[in-house]
This record gives sequence, C-alpha cells and structure tokens, in this order.
Amino acid sequence: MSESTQAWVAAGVRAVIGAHTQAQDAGRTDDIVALYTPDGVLELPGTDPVQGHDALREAFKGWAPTQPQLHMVTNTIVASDGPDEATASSDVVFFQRGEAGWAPLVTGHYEDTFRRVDGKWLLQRRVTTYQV
Amino acid sequence: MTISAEAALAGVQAVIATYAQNIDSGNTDVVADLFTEDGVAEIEGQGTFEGRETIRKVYGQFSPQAPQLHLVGNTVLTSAPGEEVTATSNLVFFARGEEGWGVQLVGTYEDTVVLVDGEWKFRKRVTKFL
Repeated sequence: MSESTQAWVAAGVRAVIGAHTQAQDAGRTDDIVALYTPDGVLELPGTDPVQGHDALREAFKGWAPTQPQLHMVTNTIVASDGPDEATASSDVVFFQRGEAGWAPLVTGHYEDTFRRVDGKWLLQRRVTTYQV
Repeated sequence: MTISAEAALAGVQAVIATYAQNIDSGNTDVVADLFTEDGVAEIEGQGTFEGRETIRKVYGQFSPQAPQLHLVGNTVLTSAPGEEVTATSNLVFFARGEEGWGVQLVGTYEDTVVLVDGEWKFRKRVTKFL
C-alpha cells in the first residue's frame, strides 16, 4: 500500500478514536454507538464481551459520567490491512475530578479493529485492558 | 487547492503541538506567531484577547513559573477539510509543585485553523475547562 493510502487510513482511524473519546466523556451514548459496526464488539476484563448496537448503548449508558472526566488517548499506532481494514493500538489515561481535584485514576490500552463501511471507518472490535 | 482530510489533520495537529511545546517553554513569540494577525484567543476565566499583538502581550504574563506540560490529544476535525477547518481537542495541564507533578486543569480546545501562505494558523482558539 502506498504511503498516501496509509496516511489516509491513519487519519480516518484516529478521527474515530478521538470522536469516541469525546463522546464518552460528554455522555453522548448514541454518538458512541454510531462509531461501531452493527456487529461491533467491546471486550473488557472480567466481563462478557458487549456485542451489537443495543448492548453497546445499554453498557455505555451505565458508564455515563457522573462527575467531570477525561480519557486521554495517545501513543496510537495504526496498521492498515487493505483499504477497508485497519488496526490501531493506543494507550489511554483516565482522569477524574474528585473532591481533591483532578487525578489520573486508571491507565489502560485499546486494541482496535476497524472496518470501512460505505466510506466511513467504524470500530468492529475494541479490546480494552487497564491497570487501576 | 484541494486539501485532504489527512493533510488538514496533520496541519492542525502540528499547530496545536507547536502551541503546547512553546507555551510550556515560555516562547511567547512563537506562540503569538501561530495566530493570524486578527486571531482571537478566548480563555475561560481569563478573557478574550483579539489580535496577534494583544496575544503576544497577554501571553507574556502566562510564562511558566515552574515546570509544566500541556498534554493535548483526542483531536477531531469538526468541519470538512479545506483552507479553514475547525477541530476539537482535549487538554490535560500538569504542573510540578512542592508535592511533585499533579494535574492542575483539564479542558478542551475549540480551534479554527486557517492556511495562510502555506502555514496553518489559529484564527480562533477557545479554551474551556471541565
């Protein structure tokens, strides 16, 4: 694949990662769900995978912010497996504001698989691991 | 001139990173020059500063007093790519105090960035805090 194609894939994938993060911290559940393919899967430690838009909506509603929070996603590495498939690996730090001010509560990692559907990059699978 | 989404995102990310690195090292002139001549910096709780020379003067007073870091990420373009684009990013501001490094502020940047003579500049940067 040419370098320009790789840059194009990376920009598309990074846009989805950023939009997911911003929607999650603002509690915009429908906007998060719209970033997944209809059969999209979210894997988390210690629980069954969450699959499909309805299950994802329910899960993210349950995780809606109760106080100011921010996921800062960084160190993203994108690999493309063709014009319509890509993977990305990112680190994440979760900050929350409590009584003593802002603090980093959790660091973690995302392993994402993307598919391009009708010209739009969507998450097909996100595997989340974290360290409290 | 046609500007692709990846070219716009790369340009926007570069101007955002240049701002962060130079504000943390106290290079006020570099920061001011990232704005268009009529550029606007609106900072929640601080005020709205209009024009590159006003920004230069005001930002001079924000020079770091202790080691600090603006960590900026999660940048998303919120308009179609072109010679003027808008983008939203998140910010975590760290400073080193007597008890070590801590998170002082968390916020968002809402930027309007334009291509002027081949260089991306802030036409407007709105800083809000969470």
